[in-house]
Amino acid sequence: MTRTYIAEDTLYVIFETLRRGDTPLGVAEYKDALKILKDGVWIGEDSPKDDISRLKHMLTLLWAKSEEDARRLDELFSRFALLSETEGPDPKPENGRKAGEQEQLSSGEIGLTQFVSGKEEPGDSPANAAHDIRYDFSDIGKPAFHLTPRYPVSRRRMAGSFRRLRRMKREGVSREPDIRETIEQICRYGRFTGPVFAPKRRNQADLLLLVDRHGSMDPFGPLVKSLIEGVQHGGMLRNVLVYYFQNCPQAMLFTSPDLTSPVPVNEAVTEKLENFYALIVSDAGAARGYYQEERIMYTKRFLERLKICRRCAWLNPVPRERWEAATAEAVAGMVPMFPLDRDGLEDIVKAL
Amino acid sequence: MNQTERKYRGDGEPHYKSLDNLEDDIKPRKENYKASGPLIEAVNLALYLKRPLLVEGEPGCGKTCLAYAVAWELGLPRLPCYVRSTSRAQDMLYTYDHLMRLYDIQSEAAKGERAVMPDKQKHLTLQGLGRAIEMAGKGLQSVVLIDEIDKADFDFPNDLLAVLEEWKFTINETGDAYNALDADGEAIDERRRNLPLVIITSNREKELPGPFLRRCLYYFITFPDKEALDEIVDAHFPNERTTLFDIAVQKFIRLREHQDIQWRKPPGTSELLDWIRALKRDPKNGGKSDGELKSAPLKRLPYVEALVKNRDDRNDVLKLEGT
Repeated sequence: MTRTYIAEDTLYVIFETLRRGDTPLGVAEYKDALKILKDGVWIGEDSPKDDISRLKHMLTLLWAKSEEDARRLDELFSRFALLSETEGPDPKPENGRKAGEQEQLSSGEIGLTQFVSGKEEPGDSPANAAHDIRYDFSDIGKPAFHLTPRYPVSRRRMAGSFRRLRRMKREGVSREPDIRETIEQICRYGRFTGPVFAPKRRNQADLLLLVDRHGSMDPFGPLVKSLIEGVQHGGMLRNVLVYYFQNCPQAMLFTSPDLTSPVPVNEAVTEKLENFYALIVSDAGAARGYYQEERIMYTKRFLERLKICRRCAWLNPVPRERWEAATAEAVAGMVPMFPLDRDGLEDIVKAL
Repeated sequence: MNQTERKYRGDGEPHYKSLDNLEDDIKPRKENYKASGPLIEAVNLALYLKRPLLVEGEPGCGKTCLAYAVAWELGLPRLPCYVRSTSRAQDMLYTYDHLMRLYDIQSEAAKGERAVMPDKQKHLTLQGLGRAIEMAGKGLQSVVLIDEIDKADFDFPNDLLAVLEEWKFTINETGDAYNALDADGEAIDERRRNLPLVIITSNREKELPGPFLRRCLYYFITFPDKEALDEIVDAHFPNERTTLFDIAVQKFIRLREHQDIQWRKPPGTSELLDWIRALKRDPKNGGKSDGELKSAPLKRLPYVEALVKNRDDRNDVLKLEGT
């Protein structure tokens, strides 16, 4: 009889990898997974109890919080989770094993180096002895690429950082009854003259994104795109306005990422942006390590213009070490500049 | 029958006797809904783990009906909460009509010495989730639908989270407390079993906050394939199936999956059902025959307005070649 097992440490590897990838997971979710596994809660009545794809489905429901997460879990599952083994009716937990990148490329059954868990040494006791586990890749059969992009900072985290950019104010049509004010009014006039209404509190933060495109920014294209999408869909800001430019903003900004629809800077950046937070996303010459007087001059002129906005900051996808002696260092002296990583994002929201 | 053993099967048939003495507005109602295997398991896992089930998917693929269908099959009361852009988490629990209370107090006050303070309960209305918690406290399970959660403010899901974890709330105005798990020791497990099943739908207009996602089970409803569409159509028009239905489903799929259309609003299952309803009428009243439908080119399908609901989509459809 073929039975399928998944070792707890394998489960942990999958869980931990997902968690580090910014999937919101906590101890409770891990415990629930163990509960599913241990109590043998196989929910459908007619489904076989040792169907690995069902286990994967359960874990996906519990641990994946978006389609991207689901794809990621699928990938991890095919990498770490194992398989199948022919054994008698008495189920024993198995030690998980880790698949190396290389071995993954081949198919069929392969014996692999053992994944040693923290507490169990191989050969400790007969029960824990290394079983002859084989990875059954036959049903995985997928090519070894995974096309789910993974960035240094996940889209979820980028969106999350910008959610803290808040300016709550009452705005719009007065629709909510303001009980406190109504009662005060009764006290003031000595009788009830009618209810007082107040508008709802809303986040009034507006963000102007100025994004460098092409050339040295090409490698960061997908990351920056994911930043823009994250901010637009998950940032919970009132308005997000995006303009693009190449190298440094000069006379023209563009409304499309392929730089085909120009808008003159003095039409794009006007007084109507006075409530916007401005955020420039560019490597400021740090990717190539150039120092260009001209670029600094243009940037300075543009930053002057941006003073219309509420506040301004610069997000640099190139790590801080590379800013030195490049145009970026000079630009960082003119405007608060932060690297595009977890801490940088936290800091930039504080700076705005 | 022990209601805690209720399992969802997803075939649209009521498998359990409905709870007795339910008020009319929360009685489960018949819902022709066919669920796919993975979705059935998602519902059952949510029932087992007592976690809310977050369902995403494009409009018209049957997210909202799922909650009603589960209520119908399990014979449990259905408690819908429809989220609006101004909704606060508290509105899912109860609403308190402050203004009415103010008026009542004022009109009583005008009576002078004979004035009687109106009862505080009078202006209180428990809403879906609030009723579910009240019922769970009495040992009655229910199905709560929180529809289109992404419409609300950013704080909404996080505010709701506390209630979904602790299953209790207090009404600020009256001081009444409701607690679904108000018990000690072993009794609490018994209480846990009666916690409501919460189904939350989202159109993904906004991404939901992490802590809230963490708590939920997540399921993405994909658009049904041909086979599933046939089943759905059969469920909605039992014993009515003719060749016209087959042609309609084929045409629908061909249109929906046509590579020359960049759908802004792709037609969903509800659109298909409306369309079939229009086509299957008596020819005297505007119905179409098999031949008519079969030979109709994609760009001039009869009653296409039931399917295509966006001007750009319409323009794309008008350019299509073939039948």
